[in-house]
Amino acid sequence: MKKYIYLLTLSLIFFSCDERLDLNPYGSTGAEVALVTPADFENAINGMYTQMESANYYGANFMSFPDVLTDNLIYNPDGRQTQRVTYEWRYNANATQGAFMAQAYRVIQQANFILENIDRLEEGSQKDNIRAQALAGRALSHFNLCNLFGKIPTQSADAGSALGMPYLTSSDIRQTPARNTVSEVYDNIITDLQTAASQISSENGIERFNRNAVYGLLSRVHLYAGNMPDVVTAANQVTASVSTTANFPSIWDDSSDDGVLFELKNFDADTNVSTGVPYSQTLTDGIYSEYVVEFGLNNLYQPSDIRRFAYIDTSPFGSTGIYNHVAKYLSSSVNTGSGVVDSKVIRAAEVQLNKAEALASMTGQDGAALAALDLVRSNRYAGFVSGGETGQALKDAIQLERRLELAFEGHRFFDVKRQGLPINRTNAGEFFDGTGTPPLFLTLTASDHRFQLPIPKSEIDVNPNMEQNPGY
Amino acid sequence: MKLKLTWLMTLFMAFVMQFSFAQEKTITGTVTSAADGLPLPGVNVIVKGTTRGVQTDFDGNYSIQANVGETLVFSFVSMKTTELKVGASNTINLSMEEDVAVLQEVVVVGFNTKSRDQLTSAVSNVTSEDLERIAPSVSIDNMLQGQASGVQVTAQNGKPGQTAFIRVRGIGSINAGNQPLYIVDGAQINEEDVNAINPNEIESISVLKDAASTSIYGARGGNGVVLITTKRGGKDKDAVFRINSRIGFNRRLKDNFEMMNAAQKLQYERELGAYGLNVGEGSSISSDAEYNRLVALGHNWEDDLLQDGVVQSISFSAQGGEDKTRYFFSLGYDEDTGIIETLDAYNRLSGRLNVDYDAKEWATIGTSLSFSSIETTDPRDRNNVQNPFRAIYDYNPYETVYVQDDAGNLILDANGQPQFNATSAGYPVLAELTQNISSRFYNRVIGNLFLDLRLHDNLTFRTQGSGVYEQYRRENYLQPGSVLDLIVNGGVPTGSKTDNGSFDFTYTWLNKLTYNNTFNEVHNLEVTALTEYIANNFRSYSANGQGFTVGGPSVLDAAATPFAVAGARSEYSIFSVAGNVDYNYDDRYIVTGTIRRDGSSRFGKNTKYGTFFSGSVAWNISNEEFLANNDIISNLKLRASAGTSGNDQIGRYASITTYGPVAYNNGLNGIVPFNIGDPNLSWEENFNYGVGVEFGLFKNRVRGLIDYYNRTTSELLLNEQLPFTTGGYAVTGNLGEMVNKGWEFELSADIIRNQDFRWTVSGNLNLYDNEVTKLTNTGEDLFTTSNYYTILRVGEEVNTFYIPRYAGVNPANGDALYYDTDGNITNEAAGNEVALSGKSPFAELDGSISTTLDYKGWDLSANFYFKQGNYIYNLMEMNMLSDGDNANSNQRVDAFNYWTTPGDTNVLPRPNNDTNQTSDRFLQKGDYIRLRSLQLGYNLPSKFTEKMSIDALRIYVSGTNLWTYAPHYKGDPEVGIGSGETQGTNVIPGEFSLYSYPTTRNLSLGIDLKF
Repeated sequence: MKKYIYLLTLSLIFFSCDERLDLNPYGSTGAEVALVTPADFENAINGMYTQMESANYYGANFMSFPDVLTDNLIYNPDGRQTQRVTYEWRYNANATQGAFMAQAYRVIQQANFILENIDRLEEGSQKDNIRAQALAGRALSHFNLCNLFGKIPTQSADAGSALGMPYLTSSDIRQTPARNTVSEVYDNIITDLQTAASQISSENGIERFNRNAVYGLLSRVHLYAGNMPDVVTAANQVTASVSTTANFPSIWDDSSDDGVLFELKNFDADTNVSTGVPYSQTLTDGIYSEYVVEFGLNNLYQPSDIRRFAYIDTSPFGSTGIYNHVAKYLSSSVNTGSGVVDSKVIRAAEVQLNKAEALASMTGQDGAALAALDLVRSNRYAGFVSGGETGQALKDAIQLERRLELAFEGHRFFDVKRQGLPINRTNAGEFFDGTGTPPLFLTLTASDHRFQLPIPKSEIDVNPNMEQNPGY
Repeated sequence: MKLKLTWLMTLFMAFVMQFSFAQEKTITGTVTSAADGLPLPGVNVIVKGTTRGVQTDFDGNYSIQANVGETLVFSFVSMKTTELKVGASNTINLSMEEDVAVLQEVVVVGFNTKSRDQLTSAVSNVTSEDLERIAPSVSIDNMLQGQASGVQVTAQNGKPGQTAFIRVRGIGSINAGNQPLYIVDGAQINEEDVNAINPNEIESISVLKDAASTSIYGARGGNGVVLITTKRGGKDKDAVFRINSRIGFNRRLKDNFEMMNAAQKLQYERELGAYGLNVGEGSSISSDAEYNRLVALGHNWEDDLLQDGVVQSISFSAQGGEDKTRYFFSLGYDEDTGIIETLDAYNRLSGRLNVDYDAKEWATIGTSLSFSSIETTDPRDRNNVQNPFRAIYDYNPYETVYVQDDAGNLILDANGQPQFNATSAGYPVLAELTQNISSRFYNRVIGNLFLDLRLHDNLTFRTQGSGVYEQYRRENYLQPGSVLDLIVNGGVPTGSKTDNGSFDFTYTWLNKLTYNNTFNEVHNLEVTALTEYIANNFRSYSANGQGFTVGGPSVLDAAATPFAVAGARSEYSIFSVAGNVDYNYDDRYIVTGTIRRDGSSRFGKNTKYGTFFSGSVAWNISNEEFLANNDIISNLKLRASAGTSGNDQIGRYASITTYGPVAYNNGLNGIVPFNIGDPNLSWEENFNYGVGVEFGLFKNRVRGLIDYYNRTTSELLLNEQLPFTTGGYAVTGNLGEMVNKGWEFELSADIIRNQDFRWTVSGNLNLYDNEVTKLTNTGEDLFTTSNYYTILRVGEEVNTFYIPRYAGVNPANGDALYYDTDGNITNEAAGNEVALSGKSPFAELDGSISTTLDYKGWDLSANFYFKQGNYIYNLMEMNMLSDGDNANSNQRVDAFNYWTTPGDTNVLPRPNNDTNQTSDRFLQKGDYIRLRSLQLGYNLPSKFTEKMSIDALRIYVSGTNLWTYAPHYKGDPEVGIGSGETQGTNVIPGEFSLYSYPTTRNLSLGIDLKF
């Protein structure tokens, strides 16, 4: 009997479990095997789009703060007081757009990870299409970063040699990159977008980078860079037409995508970002706004302008008062979540306005410029008759239309900044008739250092090569 | 009767002896207790080497026949056996001393038990008797505060059932978790599982503090080990039944500052109006009538949102054994309503059965099985409008609970119901507390099954499987049509239900062989070899449905739309081989050595295995001849140890870089970086050395110990924050080194010690010294994801505060001033952060002073805990003295003291619209002393208990946190979690305070019945 007991004891003592120590996660895949099959690459590209649709980027922040910074919106003191630091230009290295910065660079890192592994794919159209989308994602994020934290080439004479943002072509997360100059960044953006344009599949839908979108973005980049003839060349490659008046209001609840060149899809079941929350939430008492349409801007929308109704909802919130709420992101026809709508990255109307602006700055092109402008205007105003503007009047009309068309889509700050203009807010309050509390700060002069947002302190802390913008 | 018989026996024996050995003489004498000088009846007196013996009588007298030159042996339970030679005198009186070795408790150390005498390492032991003298708590770890030197216990927060942060000998780690390893009857449990155990079931808690005792736990023992042993039955002991019952009340501790009342707040708002700040109602009041109306509405929101919590506890146990079977059985129920008006916070049902059965003369089988079921309901621990503990400070006293018109009539909603007032915060917290309820349920089984084989007289073998199974379930129901529901669903009543939970199973299979022998009566040897396999399996799920009918059923089945699902799974495993040798020469010289080799699935590909070792020595000087019967020194021991242990508390797959799934465009698969890993990731290594001296003086009336330790943690696991320019990811790596040094002192004295009256005063004091010595990545500052206001810098204390310095108020214009990094004065705080050398969230010293008084049936014990040298960033004060920035919310009364005219000094800055800036203006010293526990008990005299046919009945009243003195910090100084959901799991205890569940004061009445 005891013999068996000894045997049992011995067998237990020498029991070993070494082979059970190599455990792999169930919910994720090792990096070295993440990109192997063509489907893996498609998945990685989809991942890049979800990163772009993050609330820190196109999902919410980037669709609001470039307008909050400007004269398109006024702060509602009875709201939740979000983004007040941004609105009042009180940001500093501790309170800046750090989350946006990290998220835009995540998109870049993902794109670079795909590009570094792309030779695992067989040569051919699928490989080209993957590469093109990754390059476009990388270029667009660098563009957005550089415009916010650095100068824009056309902003001032010294802009090209001023501090841009690091242009990254490696996915190494341990690099500590230094800032490139604005010119260097723009050169890289243009190169990447041109390669993307030549390789992208003509079959891509609007939920991803596609031929129209890449050329459209190229026209935007060239406009910001001041390469006017190139704006026209790129814009002419875009085949999609400006949305019609009839379809226009439906774009904003996602029941139409007329004129949309590229939008990041947003569904309850996946990305589920409340794009509209930085603007407002809808409660039983009505729309509860953080920011409402600035009184001056509100008055620029003509009664005949379809956007007056598509963009602005004039209604009371409880007993507090009547406001001009931003109506662009209120609800979606496909989602139940409040403000969960697709993020429009680029639309055909913008491309026409890019083209018009470029042509108007070139000699002898006013007619063509007016034609491009009217392509937009004729689809926005009831009973539209062209104003037939020329010269400065034409330029002004283009800028006016640009502000009206692209309001609340994250353009205004950059459009003011790239022209070296100041921000001038109307001295009026938050209510629909301009009463209420006017903004505490009305003007940001063109030369103010706050046009270049501060680099987050936490970035400077961990990246010894990062340089802070002057003035902070 | 029995004694009489003994008397007769003694007389008879004396007679017989005398008859047999006629040449002997009669020795008489009295035996007394050295401790109190009282006579000792029943002492055995035997002539050595013979069968002749007697017992002392009632008065301690004896009489025995013996020859000159023979030796009398006096022995008595719990007294030191004493031998005296018979000389010329016919009288031998003896004052017997307590046998310290016997009185000392048996201490559980690692996989074995030792008596105090045999210990070579620093181990603190708390027994069930100790715990009975401390004001009770549902979670045992909270009761350990101040009980053991070198063991720092901080309540995480005041939430009912909340566990504590336990730190053994300073801060051993930064990101890998600082909690010690918890082992209950051999099963490894998590810090948060500790509250599954009913404190009444606990026999003892050992805290292993140095490498000599922790290295047997290898890669898991680096932060110390807390061994919890539950009660078991004793052989041939009749069943003892116990009923412990208690009821008590909890109340939020009173603040050491005052908030404004309605009139003050309106006045303040009015004053701020003069600075162009349009805050609250006050700045726009146009008439006296309006002002008076608002003042009349004044009330204290704490009365509306909080309550006195009720705590109830009842437990029953039976303990005993026969020849072959021993058992301990217990059932308990605990309830704590918590202090939030509408919520029933915590209840626990627990049960245990521990059985030992001698199946064969050489085989024992046994089990320890416990079950506990906990249900909790608590508010979100978040710094936002959903938090009632922020609301009590934020809501203005003139704001009403329900919406009213100016005449004071309620404005009803469409259904005729009063509506909660959203207040200045914009969202009524009462709506949150009544309409958006989360309940959590934890069912846990903790236990073991073992087989002990006595293979040989000196060789035993144990195989033991122990495990912890936790089933966790959370249900959250956002009522359709509730305030939050209408916000998130755009005004359409929708409703949302989430069921989520997890199944977590950890088991340990231990095989242990022990050889134990004594050679030549002086060489004691014990050798242990063991293997241990630990594995964990975790599954979780979450399901959400939306679209419920108002007032309808709330189960997921009733949801119109299945909305979201999630699930996850993970594992870890550890395999270890270990050995231990103890050698003890005559209980004088003791040497031990330990080695353990661990393999862990958590570590990187290249670093799967680690070896840990330790050695220790001790010298029981008081067992030497030259100190025998020394009048002053009754116990003296020196010990020294050195060794290594590790800390493996890193993410399960942290060493692997992975990509995880996301979805895009309604169902397309996508992947994004999920974890950034380091393939060389390994455990943190602790190298520990220490020396200690333990002493007992004047017949052990004065007892104490002094310990010094030096603990170097190298290969620190840190979550390194990578640049935003590469995506702002964080990576876990072995990145630094840190040294903890410290002294521990314990002193205890029986000031009065006699039969009726015993008064003991004891105290302990711990000095901590911490320094970060290496940060290997860049050698420069390191920022981790858990640092909010602190930094890691070589040469500084871990988590030294890193914020701008406040320079006071400019007397000329009232501006807040700050120093820039060079020490010049500026208006801008941001960007001027400096490391505030010597200021960190960790204390320089802490300790406790306690006293126990026993007089006849009465007992009184009090325990004070103190802590000094830590700093807390007071974010709550930043909101309450906000210089106008947060003045829509209520403010502290001292907010009135702001700059008004040039030349004002000692004032707050001029109210302005500027956002309040982070600076050391709100960094406060956390020093405090607190009456942690006070208990007064009365044991019913035996004449009553006998009549009632019971063994004992004790009634007590006890209180916790009855008095606090905190000279610097405004608020409750016992800060653990600052804000639960903000900090997540990587909490630096006490870094900042931000409306977590507040500490409470408790008063209880209890009865312990034994029969």
